[in-house]
Amino acid sequence: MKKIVKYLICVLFSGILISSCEKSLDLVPLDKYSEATFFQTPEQFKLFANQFYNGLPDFSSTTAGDTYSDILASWSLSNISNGSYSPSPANGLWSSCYSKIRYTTYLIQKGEEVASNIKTQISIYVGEAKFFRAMAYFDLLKDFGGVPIIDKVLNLEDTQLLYGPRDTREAVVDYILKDMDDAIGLLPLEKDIAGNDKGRVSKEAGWSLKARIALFEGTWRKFRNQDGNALLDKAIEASGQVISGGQYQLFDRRDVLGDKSYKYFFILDKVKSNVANLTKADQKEYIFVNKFDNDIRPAGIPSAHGFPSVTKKFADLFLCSDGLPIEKSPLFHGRLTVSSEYDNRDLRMTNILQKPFTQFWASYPPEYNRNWANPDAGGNIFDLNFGNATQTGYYSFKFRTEIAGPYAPDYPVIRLAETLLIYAEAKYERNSLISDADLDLSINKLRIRAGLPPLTNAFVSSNGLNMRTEIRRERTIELFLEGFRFDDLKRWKTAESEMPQALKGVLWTGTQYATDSRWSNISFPLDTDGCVIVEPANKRTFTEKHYLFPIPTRQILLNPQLTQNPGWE
Amino acid sequence: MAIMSYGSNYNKKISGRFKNDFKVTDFLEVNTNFSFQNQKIIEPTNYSGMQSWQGLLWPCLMPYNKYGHLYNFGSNQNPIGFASESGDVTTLNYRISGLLALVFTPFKDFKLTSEISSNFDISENDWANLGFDMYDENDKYSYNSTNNRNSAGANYRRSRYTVANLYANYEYILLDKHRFNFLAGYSHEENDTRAFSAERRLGLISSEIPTFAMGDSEQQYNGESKADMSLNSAYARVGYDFEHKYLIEGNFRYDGSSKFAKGYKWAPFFGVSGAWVLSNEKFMQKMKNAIDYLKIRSSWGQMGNQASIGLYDFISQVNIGGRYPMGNPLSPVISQSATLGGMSSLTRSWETIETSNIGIDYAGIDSRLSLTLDFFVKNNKNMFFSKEFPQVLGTSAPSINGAHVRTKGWEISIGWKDKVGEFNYFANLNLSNNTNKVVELVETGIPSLGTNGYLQGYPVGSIFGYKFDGFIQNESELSAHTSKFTSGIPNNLKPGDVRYVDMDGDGKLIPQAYQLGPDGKPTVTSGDLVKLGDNGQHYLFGINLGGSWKNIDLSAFFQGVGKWTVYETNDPAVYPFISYYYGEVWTTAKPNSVYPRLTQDGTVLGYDFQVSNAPYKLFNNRYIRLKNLQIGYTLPSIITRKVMLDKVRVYFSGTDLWEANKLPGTYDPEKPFALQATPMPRGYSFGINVTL
Repeated sequence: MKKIVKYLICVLFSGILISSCEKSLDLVPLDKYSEATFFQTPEQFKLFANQFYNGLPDFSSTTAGDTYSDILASWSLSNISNGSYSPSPANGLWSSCYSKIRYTTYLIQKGEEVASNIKTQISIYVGEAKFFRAMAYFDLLKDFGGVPIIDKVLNLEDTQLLYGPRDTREAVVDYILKDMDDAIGLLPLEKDIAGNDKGRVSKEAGWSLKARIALFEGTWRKFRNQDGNALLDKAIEASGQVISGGQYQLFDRRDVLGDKSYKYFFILDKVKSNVANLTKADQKEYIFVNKFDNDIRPAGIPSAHGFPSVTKKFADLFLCSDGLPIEKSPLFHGRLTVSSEYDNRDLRMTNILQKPFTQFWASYPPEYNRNWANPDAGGNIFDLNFGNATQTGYYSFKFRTEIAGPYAPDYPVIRLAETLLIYAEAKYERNSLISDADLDLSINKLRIRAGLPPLTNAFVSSNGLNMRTEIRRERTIELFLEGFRFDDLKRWKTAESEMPQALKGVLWTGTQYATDSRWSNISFPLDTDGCVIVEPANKRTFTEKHYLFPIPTRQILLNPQLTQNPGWE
Repeated sequence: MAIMSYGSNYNKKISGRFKNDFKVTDFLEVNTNFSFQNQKIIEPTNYSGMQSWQGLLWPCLMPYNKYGHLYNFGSNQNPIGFASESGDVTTLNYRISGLLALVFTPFKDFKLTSEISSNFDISENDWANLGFDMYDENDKYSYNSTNNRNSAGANYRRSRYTVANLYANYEYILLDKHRFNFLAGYSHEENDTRAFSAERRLGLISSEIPTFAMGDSEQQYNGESKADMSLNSAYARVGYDFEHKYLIEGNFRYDGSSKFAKGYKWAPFFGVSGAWVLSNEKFMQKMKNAIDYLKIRSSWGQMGNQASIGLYDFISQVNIGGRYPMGNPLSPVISQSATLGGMSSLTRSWETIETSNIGIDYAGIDSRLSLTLDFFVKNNKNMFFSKEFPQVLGTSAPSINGAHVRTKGWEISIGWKDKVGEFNYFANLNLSNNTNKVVELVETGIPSLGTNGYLQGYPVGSIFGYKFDGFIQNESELSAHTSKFTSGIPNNLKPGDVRYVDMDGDGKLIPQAYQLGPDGKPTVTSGDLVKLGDNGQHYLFGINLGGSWKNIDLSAFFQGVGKWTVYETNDPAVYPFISYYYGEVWTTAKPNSVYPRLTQDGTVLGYDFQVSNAPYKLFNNRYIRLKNLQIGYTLPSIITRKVMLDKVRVYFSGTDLWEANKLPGTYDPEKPFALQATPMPRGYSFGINVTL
């Protein structure tokens, strides 16, 4: 009996200790949702769609894009701009785009699986996903041409797609445009987007992006002896929808901001950022932005120090105020002094470039900040500090805020000015002709804002100008630093002649630069005209192969079906 | 002692332990063990900011300007400000551990043990991140470290860990020769953690009192995370011992983990071992002087591993986070995003590490000499590995049991102790080495420039780089070199830049492995990278020397590595001020310099300093370090007895007092090329041991 009690005690007490444990081996996350039970409510679809907004282009990414082109010279000369780069194992755009494609497709696929009663409630988010997916494929198309189309959420067994070949350029374009048409069908008009949802993709943003894509590919084909007309028609139709909708207007507040209206347009903030107290709420030009906020999400804007220099080629694009190029206009004051070339020009010239020996304000250092109590005081003088502020003599302050951080101008992903430029270019390229009425509907609005006379067919012919050149000039100036120039040269197929030209700075010989003692101790290589050469033509190359970037080589090693772009093998 | 000259630097620890075993009845014994620890640390909130800026700053910059203000140059921030002016974080760490074991002995030689132990770890801190102002050399205000967005917050984290263990042990002795030992048991482990944080901006009200309760209620942030895991194991062991000469043992365990998906949670593991104690054999007794103890042993066993993977990887998780300002630009609402975690890992199970070992233990020459020798082969047959898929997948693949890594190694340790007159001394040496190789992989793996993870047929951590071919000395060498290349080298090389060998001779410098096909010619995908070594530490050694003479004792412990391939990771584009560049950079006047020319051109600089076997890039970081040195003096007992003390010893002890190595500069050899780190500390301490 005593023995039995003893054993019972053993078992009992052992059991008590062991039973203090509570967890089995079947544990699930305590602070996260499981994917299997997510995607049930419209709110969850919205939360999932929100991630795509965080991946929009911003100030730094598009500045980097323009350094590839002929209008900027970066301090450490860009090997993309000078064509000396070679295929590399990895490419950030390739991987980030396919990641975006996976997650946009995820939402689209989940949208097909949900109960029918919420299908209509989530259709907006499916539309957003298609918009962002088209954006990702368009980025791939611009850089690489035809790429593999992945039209489902891949798992590891999908070897046919994982290790499949590239699709043709045409197939990719069709796929993008199909997504855009679907998106436009599902997205709401801007006026129908509720207050707390402002900033989400609108139908107008859909039309604008579609127009951008159609113009890109339409002209790409046209200048490669293929038929681009159907695409140009799409570009005209889609940009026309935005223009006729009347939802957006160009920002022009010269009434309160004077000649600096255009400059302050790009740095409107929530906090005070200009003498007229205009805020981000006072512009109606931006169609789709990457949104920033001083408290929630401050913007990062490339600092002034180390910013790439603007080339002479870009500075010379600005027309004189009579609408004529500098080589034709009697109003051009020449380059005798360091600032004479800034006289009588397109208003945008002094709104984008800092005129030498004029005052400017910056976000850093503090003494350069604007003091709104005394707005004309302080700041600094742009003193043409070669080797520090500029290497060309030209200096840009587009997008630079004048106030201390945290600042938060929005970054324009799509704005009306571009849509107007698309309309004009597509109209012209469609029939090699554009009517004065269409010019008035589109780029003349930009020219008026820039203090220029309207462009007409008569003005072009009477002054020996070229309509295409003028349309392209307008585009290059207006969209400076917004990441278009390099792609434009490629689709126009002019990169092979434009890109190999030397990157130049100001005219030195015979001007104040050569005679003024301030610069007597510096010397530059000069061309035969006496202009500063930052990178000579013999160090720059752009051949047929450079129209497409090489496919990242590691991806080819992983999947030999993925063929390299021509010339990069 | 404080390690930093600036800022708060406080660390205090109190701990206690209580252990008691008592017999309750003739068949029940209770063991208890209780301990606590309480630690308080105060240090700068921006410790990492301090570390990184002290690593980034040029040595010529002054800490303060002549007006006594914190100085900054350009956008460089002041590490002293981060140490002393940017607020402190006060961390309290508590640990309470307890163990309760009931040991029943219902009948002779049988023991049933039931034990439970728990650790509670709590770590909480409160911090303030205060902006400090910096000034230029003319005392002009130039920068505030936080742009006046001062903030304060607190973190709380606790972890609860419990182990319950129930096992029975039975020993059976037959005829005093055969000893059997049986053990069987079951254990359960569980752990859960919870953490939350809160933060508010202070700037708008005051930064005088650094508590977030005083912050701006419009600017408050908080977060939470929690997680748990559990492990179950059943295990058994049978041992047999014949006259302490022949020993044999078998064991088995069956482990289950919550980290794997259903159906993959459990795995069995086996092991056997045997030993022969030769010195207990009769025929060895004549050699008793030379051999006190000699044992040959061998084992084969499996072990499970489930560390280094996520807790719930078998579930595809949705994360919520991020801040995007949606809505009206003047009064936006914070919009969070839902994102997917990695792909789920449904079929992954335990890693099985199989180790075979043979070893000898020896002691002899009147116990003056001791020797241990071991050889082992370790096979991790289903190691966690994440296969690389084409990036069109859009995410990375989850890790699977996809690699087989074999490690072979040996270890030897020799000890000698003796005395000469009043001088006692000892010397111990141990030396070990192992090499590994990926013998099987679910993919072949593509070598890339730098350190690689797993590549079939190569050691883990293999380093690939270009083959260095000297500096280009003049224009004719330059054109001779560049004319050989059609791509892969910068278009503006100059004398003073580096030549790398075009291994496959295709006129392109390509960052892919140099590979020969079966025909002895480079393959189509061959590049120019060659294997330069692996990042493992080889020939690790330790030397322990000591002696005493009369009342004085001395001991020293040296530690080191015989072979460790490392490459310089500090880019001169970021760290142009590193002192070992001075006077050692290529110029026409110094063609035999250590380093290539320095240039502002980032493309060329990147090319000159990429991974290769150049003598300025690749190093064997072999080193020896005096880890510890102690000198003691014991007061004569005639004196100490008078004050009723048994023994009083005063000592000096130093840690990391000396080292010899091959790296340039003054890096800590244990952290090669770590620039943004706390500088290598040397420790000195004096102490007294008192025995009552």
